[in-house]
Amino acid sequence: MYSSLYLRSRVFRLSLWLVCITLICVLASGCAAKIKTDPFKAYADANRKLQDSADDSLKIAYDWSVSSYSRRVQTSKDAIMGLMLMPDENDPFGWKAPEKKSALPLKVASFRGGVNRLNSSLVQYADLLMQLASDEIISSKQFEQMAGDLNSGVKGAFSSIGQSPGDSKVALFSAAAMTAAQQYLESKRKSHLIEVLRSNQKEVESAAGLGKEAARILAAVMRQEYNDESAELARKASVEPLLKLDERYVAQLQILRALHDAYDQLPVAHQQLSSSLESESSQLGQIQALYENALRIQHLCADLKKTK
Amino acid sequence: MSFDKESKCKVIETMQAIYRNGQILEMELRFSDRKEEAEEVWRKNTRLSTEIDVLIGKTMDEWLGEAATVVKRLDKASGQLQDSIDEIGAAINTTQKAIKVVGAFDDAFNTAMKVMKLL
Repeated sequence: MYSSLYLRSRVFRLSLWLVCITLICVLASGCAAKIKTDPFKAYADANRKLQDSADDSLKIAYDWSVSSYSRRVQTSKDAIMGLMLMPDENDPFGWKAPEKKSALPLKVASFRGGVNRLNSSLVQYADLLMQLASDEIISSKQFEQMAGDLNSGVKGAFSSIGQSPGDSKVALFSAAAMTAAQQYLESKRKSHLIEVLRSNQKEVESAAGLGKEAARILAAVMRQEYNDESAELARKASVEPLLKLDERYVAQLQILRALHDAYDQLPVAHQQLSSSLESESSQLGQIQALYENALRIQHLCADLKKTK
Repeated sequence: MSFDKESKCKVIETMQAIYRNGQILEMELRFSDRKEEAEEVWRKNTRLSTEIDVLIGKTMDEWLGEAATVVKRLDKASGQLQDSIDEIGAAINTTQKAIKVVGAFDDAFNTAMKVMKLL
């Protein structure tokens, strides 16, 4: 008899202890405001669009450098030698462009791969941010299920010690405990996001700086090809092809300027994610602007392909 | 003498402006029927064009080197983010386990009572 009473009191104490922990969780977490997922989704979409538009721009630069180089090859031996790939002693599957004579299209091809790799990392980072900010990570359904499980578990625990607190009281307790747990996790998730955004702002700025530089290097490639092709047409006094070339060159520079501006917007948009976590309303201004700029680049690239 | 990123791009752009001016001069000479002088300008300018190509290629190589470092740092940041996601998932699992423990009180108590009766 004494043992049975002892056990009952132990179980009851344990239940009280659980209630206390739950209350501590509620007090520690406070009322965590729900994370707005829209800005994170928009940021991830914008990064994907930026990657696509940057690759479209690079494809155009590569195609132009190939056609221009093909013309140069006809008059220059060095240009032909620049296309003779060399083996890479350190990599059985690698290749090297010939030193000092390397063909610009090969450099552009390798540069395109590098820009794509950089953008892939930015996209991966943005996707993971979205995943952490997403409601799906802590779904309400999952917590409803847990509240139900807790409900029957608590009822069982009380009945074991010969007490019946009443269905409504148990349901209230289970719902409160699950709300507390959900808020605790929500608060934890929010603090993770704030920390990640803060600590990676510099990395995003560095990546954006490289993106801007890439746009400027590409402009130099385009200019180089334009200078040669336009001079060739001028020598033949081919007015109409020269006019078309001018039109294409201006359109390409417009694309690269837009790409440069998009990379300029990237760190500001990343910064806005932090602000959206602290603000009541969803702030999408800069993120939306980045998305629209990237979309505009894709349209400009598509238009340019049509006029070819 | 080392150049920062901005200066390197500026040097290429300045060289391209000189190259373009050379081409304009070459055209003016051709259109004025001064072919020999035009050819001489063209020859010298072609060398400048090759140098610009080499410089653009080097700038791209340097860019690729810097990008590899930034990519590594971004991938590390993504790894940390994945850890955060896993941590939240683990916290949910812990909550689910805790609930199962509460549910097991009943069974544990009944078992204990049976054992008591046997003693």
